[in-house]
Amino acid sequence: MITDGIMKQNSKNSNIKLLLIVLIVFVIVKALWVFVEFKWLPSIGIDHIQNRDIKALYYRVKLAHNEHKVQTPKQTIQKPVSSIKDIQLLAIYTTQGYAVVTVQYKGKTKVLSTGEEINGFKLLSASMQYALFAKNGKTYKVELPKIKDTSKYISSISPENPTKTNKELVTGSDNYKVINKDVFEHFANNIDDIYKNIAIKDIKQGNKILFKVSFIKRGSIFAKLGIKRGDIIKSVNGEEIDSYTKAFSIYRGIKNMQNLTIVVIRNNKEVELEYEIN
Amino acid sequence: MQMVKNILVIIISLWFSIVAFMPKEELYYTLEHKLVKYGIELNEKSIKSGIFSMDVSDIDVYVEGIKVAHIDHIDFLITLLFNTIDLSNIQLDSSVSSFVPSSIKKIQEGHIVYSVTSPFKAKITLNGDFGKAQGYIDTNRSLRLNFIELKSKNSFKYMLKKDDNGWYYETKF
Repeated sequence: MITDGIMKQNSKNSNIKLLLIVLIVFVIVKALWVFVEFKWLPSIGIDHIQNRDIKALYYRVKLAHNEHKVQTPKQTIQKPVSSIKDIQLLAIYTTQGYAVVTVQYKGKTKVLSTGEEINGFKLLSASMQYALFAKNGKTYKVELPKIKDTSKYISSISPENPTKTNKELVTGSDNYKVINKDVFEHFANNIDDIYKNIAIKDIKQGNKILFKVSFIKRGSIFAKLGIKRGDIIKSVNGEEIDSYTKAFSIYRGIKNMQNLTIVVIRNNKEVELEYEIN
Repeated sequence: MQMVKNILVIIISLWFSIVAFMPKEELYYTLEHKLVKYGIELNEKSIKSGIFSMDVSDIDVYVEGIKVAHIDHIDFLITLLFNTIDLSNIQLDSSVSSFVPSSIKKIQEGHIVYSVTSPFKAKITLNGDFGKAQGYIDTNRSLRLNFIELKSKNSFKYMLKKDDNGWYYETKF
């Protein structure tokens, strides 16, 4: 009886002891976690802040007629007194108080920004339709060429079937093409149709990702756009495409584009492809 | 015998206390901070943590500032020896959904399992509009998905390769 009582007492004691040990373990672990929490772990997460300052896409060429009048701030510019015929204006990019133009002078193209000169003609400013140059105190106005009848110098390509329209889908020369707006919107909204006609492979190069055209369906609209297998897409509207983010960013704004300039690397040379969406 | 019992109780209580007292929300925030270094941000509406689990709901996923997806729920089950992450209704954002084939715009279920039995791999199961895929992600930063059911491969087969077992997707990150 006494032995049983002692054994029961021992068992009870050992159970209490075990319970105490368990409690101590709990306390120690909790204390360790609290220490870790305060020492190394953040107490709040990261909230995404929406960047409302979305960068406008580089607007390279304005060849189409403006259906909607764009209100631009009035500028007090000296009235042009004459025009210069040697300088041909190819493209205009304007932003507030700053202009970049592409001109052709004696068969060579050159990109000028505000204040730069070509043959002594200093670029003063530009609007959507013309650029103003100054030389010897005189102001000269150079207008963008108007394209009313593109058929004169733009060869036509017969339509194919991605959309049911019978309109011409793509027209143009090698370096400059006009894309039918309906077709453009169709592909902008139906990515599956794009992937049936073209495949783009991503190639990692250091921190950058290059986008290489690995397949292009013969006779497809993309082939007519002048894109070729093996082309590496370098930039779109002046924005270098070296990450998925930039590709997403471009694609998100593509529906609103009226002009598109794609620079591709073809046979180790840069080739510029100009498109007007009309 | 008593000694074995005591050791077992201590081990179990140690395991239980580690899991139960684990600051799960803070660890999730740590994950968020780590992902930011790779340009990925997670914005969740609520986090509910239990003894062995944590439920994060209404998560917007941003990649370098662009919203790319919305996930209805991410359920974490943490037991140290066997851990799972269940993702439900992964829907690509409209801004990027036009950028990817329609068949991979929505993934109804995603299941990631990490177990001590294969410490260098986490198994992945995906069930989406494209079909079903099983694969793994390993410590060599590689991902492989074997498509066991492929409903529409035409729109994204350029991303896939084929071997004796069928179509698969493989990438390193």
